[in-house]
Amino acid sequence: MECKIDLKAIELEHKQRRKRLFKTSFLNNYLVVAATIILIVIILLAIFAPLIAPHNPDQLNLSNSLKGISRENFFGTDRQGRDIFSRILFGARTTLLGAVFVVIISNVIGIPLGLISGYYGGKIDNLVMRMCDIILAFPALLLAFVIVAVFGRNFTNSVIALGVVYVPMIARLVRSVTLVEKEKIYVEAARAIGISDQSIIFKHILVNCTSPILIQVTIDMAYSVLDLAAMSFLGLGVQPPQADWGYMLSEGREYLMLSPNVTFAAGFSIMITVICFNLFSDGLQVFLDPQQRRV
Amino acid sequence: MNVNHDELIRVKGLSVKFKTDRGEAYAVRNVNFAIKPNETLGLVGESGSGKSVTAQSILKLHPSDRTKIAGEISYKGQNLLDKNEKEMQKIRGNQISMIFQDPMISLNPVIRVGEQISETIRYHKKISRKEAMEQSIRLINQVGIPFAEERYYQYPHEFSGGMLQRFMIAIALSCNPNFLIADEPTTALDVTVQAQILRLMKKLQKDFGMSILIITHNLGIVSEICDHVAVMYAGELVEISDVIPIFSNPLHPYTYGLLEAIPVLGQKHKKLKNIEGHPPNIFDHIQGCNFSPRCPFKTDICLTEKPILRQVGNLRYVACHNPLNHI
Amino acid sequence: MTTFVIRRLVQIILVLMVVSVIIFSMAHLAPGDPALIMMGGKQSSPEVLENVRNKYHLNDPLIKQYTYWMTGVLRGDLGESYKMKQSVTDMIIGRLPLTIQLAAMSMFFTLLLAVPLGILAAVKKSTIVDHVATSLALVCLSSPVFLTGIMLILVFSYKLQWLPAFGIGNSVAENFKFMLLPSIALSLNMIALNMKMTRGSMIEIMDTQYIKTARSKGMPQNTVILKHGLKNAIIPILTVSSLQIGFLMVGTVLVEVTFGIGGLGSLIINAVKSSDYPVVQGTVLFMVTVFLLINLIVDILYAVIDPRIKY
Repeated sequence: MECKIDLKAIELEHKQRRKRLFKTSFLNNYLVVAATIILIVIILLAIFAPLIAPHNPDQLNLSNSLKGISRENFFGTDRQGRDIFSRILFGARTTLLGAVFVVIISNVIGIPLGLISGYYGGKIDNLVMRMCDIILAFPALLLAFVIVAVFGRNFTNSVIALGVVYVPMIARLVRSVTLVEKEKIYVEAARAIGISDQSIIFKHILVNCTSPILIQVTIDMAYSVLDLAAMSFLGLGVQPPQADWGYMLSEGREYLMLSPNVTFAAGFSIMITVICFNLFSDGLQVFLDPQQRRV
Repeated sequence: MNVNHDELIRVKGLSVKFKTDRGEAYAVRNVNFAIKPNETLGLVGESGSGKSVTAQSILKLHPSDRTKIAGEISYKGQNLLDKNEKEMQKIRGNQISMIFQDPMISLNPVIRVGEQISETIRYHKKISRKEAMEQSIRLINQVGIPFAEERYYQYPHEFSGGMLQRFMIAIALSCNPNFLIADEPTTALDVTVQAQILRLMKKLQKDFGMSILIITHNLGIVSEICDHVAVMYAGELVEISDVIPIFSNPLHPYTYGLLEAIPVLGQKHKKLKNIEGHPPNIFDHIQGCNFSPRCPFKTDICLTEKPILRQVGNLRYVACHNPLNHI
Repeated sequence: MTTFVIRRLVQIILVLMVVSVIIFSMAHLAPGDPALIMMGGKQSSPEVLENVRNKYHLNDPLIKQYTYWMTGVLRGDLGESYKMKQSVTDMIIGRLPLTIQLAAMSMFFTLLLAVPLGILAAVKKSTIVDHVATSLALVCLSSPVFLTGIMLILVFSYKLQWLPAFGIGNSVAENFKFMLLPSIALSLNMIALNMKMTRGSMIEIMDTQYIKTARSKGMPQNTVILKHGLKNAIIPILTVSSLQIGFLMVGTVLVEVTFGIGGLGSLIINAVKSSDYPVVQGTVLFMVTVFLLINLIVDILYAVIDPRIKY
């Protein structure tokens, strides 16, 4: 039986499929498009906060305490008379920067660990997985509490602590993909022609991990925004007077009866950001990984 | 095609349309056939030709929100397409049963196999747990599985594919159906097991007295078990015949192509022929005969006019402008 | 099964040993003189500080201190709080009932609503019911528990004045009223998560061949969904239950702080804030132990539900 393969047609077909997928996963899904746009706006607001903010976010003005919504103060003022809108803008910086660093820390540690333990297996794998087990023995944020308790309660420490807490997730994910990939023929072939382990791991296997990693990164962004807010809310993260959404919530709770403006502004900022990250990651998941939809 | 009262089931002008992301598409178009009591009809075609869709339409197993079925499926004189879901439930598994291609995924992994048989009996026959269990154990014996009492309490993952297909048959026969639909029942099994399952089906057909619609792409199975054959291509029937003439005297070029693609023992040097090209995608629209792009015997008319299924002999139908071996 | 449980118990003990070493050494590597912390930052004479150090073995080598602590822990004595001068074990036992009640009420709401809602959304896929349920789930999932809690306080305590906003009552029955809002705040998040997962796995399961088999043999819709679908759909949810239990435990901490409930969570946060290391050590070790034991129970449950799992 003769077999003619029309490579061009296959490539074209593939491109069309991607396009169609992009359309169904992103464009046809108005929610995902809206979420992406809002995320971009939030990021831009955070970057250009000093230019946009109408007031100094840390400027105390007790005579201006708990003012309502006005042209001067879009979201009103807090108990110390600070402009809530400006504080929300600067809070976005804290929150997003923190979340990005949490994700960077966990990925920088977790990806190599996962690759190495998946690829080499044996004792290294065992060691890495036992280390993950130890971290996972702490329910969620509890380890972060301990780390912060010991090294001091501040924003940097809580970011590092969360980064560490997130490592096992990413390491296990990368390891599981590596375990599948390393059995594939292209790895065998690469080894046969004498390509070093390092470049097999970091060039070939890592490339195949990008989709799951990207999806995990967007999910982790949502979680780290929530967890950083929780740390600050508990008074373990951002310390006053720095503007932060989580801390604003815990401040606002104290005078909730008098004026819920701070609470609403900070609360909805957190919620909208997290919703957008979640929607974006849903869209990305459908696009990158249409067969395997994780929950 | 007159209404015939010794027919158990008659499918008339059946069309099935699916709604998909890429628009609506016909999976099956204007299919007609009939089966008499105790007879076996083989529905033959390549994968994607609409065989399974046809079979599942009889039990209305397609999701109703994404499927449009038109035509008539009359079973014992009543049109199944008029029945609602509740009424269909009384027919499924009770009067008409179905077994599927891959037994490894057809049984529920977290329910004991025995329970999967006896729940069917309990639901349809309204008998006690104990009686249902006894009947199930008898059935397990009947489909050729030893130590039925112990097997009753085991889970699907503890069995091989061939064994599981026997359990599937036991489930299908548990309520003495008149009609069994077997959707590629042996495709996923080892060759030796295939023969056992076919023999079992033949034997049970006699014991239970039922008609079978067997769907397959394997003409060997057809020759072994079927009384009649219907050949399907791209969602439409192209040829209907008794089983012997279709092997000796195929009329449709597609049937001919299928037969040519069967290896024959002793003809070592004969090159196996395959049918050039691929079956059309259900979204493709073809002018004229669906098979014309692949047909070696096509003429001008084939490209413009769609051939209709017409009678060319006693119980012999073909949809082709230029049938082979004119009678 | 028995060997599995024993093996896991041994594993848990090993993990706990490592965890105890980590917690202990971290607390002792922390900057700041424990003696000073114990005196509450008051100006104290060197003799007083030295006395304190001797009393709490702070001058002994770390390994010896760890041995003291560990022998105490094994006897159920988690040490003494720097600040409250109280036994940590007693503090935990005193506050545990509140936390258990809170967690139990949240679990009750979650179990009551999450799975049925998930099934409903899955069965009514792509209808209004499904869209409303999934949108609400997204909102609940994206709102941190303390924010949900604050919103509930705002509506049900301040506006409608139906339920108290802070604190606890004098008895378990009275606590029920006080804990209604906290447990709803905590459970909304878990209901949303579990609903979403149930929906997802249910939709996937309803597409499988064995569901088609069940339908082809005439099983009624309810049997197909509840008997053939649900049992399979629960399995993937159980696999991530460890994360959920962790979430529940940390959730109680957040909710306790939000609603001013003096349970285990408030205890641990106050201890972290005031560098009361014996309390931090003790409560964390306690929570980790509970967490690992619950995980073990879930693993056993997992084998009961899924016959393919053999330990």
